[in-house]
Amino acid sequence: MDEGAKGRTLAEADLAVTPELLVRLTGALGTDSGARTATLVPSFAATVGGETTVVDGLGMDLSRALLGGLGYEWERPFVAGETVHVRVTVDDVFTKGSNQFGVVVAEYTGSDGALVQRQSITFVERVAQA
Amino acid sequence: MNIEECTRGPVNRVQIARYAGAVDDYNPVHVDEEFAKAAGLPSVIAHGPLTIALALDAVVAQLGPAALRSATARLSAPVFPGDVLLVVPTDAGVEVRKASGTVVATVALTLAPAADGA
Repeated sequence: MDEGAKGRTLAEADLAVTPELLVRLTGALGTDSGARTATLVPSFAATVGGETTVVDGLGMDLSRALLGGLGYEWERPFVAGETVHVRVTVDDVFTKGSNQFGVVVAEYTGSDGALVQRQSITFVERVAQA
Repeated sequence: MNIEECTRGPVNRVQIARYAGAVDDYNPVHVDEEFAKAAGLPSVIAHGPLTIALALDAVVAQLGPAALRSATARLSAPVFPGDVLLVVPTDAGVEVRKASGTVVATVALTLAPAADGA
């Protein structure tokens, strides 16, 4: 990973939280409570700026990388039909032992500018063998 | 944590594909059996965020979405089609285990005061 990526903004966009998106997520969960859970866990990280935005932005080698963790801070659930603004940034890139860690944060704000939720994704990449 | 132990799943291939479509994450390790096997896995694996969403769903089912303030999840093992996930309360949140006892995720939760019994 590129340790110089720390602090970099990878993408920024306005996104529609469509009823269809929440229905698709509800269907994937497949539970009676799925419709309520779906309002908390939409992820646009793969779509904002294109499928490879995060991988390229971190300079990550997917063959050596895996998803290590996720974080959510909720101010409120997403509401079907609203448009939110998302900003995706590299929060940290660091090395610990024989692994590199990259933390990407997506902050979603509503039309009033108030935070809706903050998602963080931690990737772990094994250091390449010499 | 003031929730009851419960199960989610078994996770299945259609569910993984539906989740891929919902979040536009078509990494082949989730949707391409041959790719997953070439990578040394027995089959495709569930997206980590799907596993976490199922754990959070177990909490939402009991406490409602407004109860959740934050979640910090660590993924520790892959989830395969056929895995039943046991969501077990811990002091800090919930742990997600397979039937074998393997812990696949640990989720620390912060709840709204009313939901936390405070």
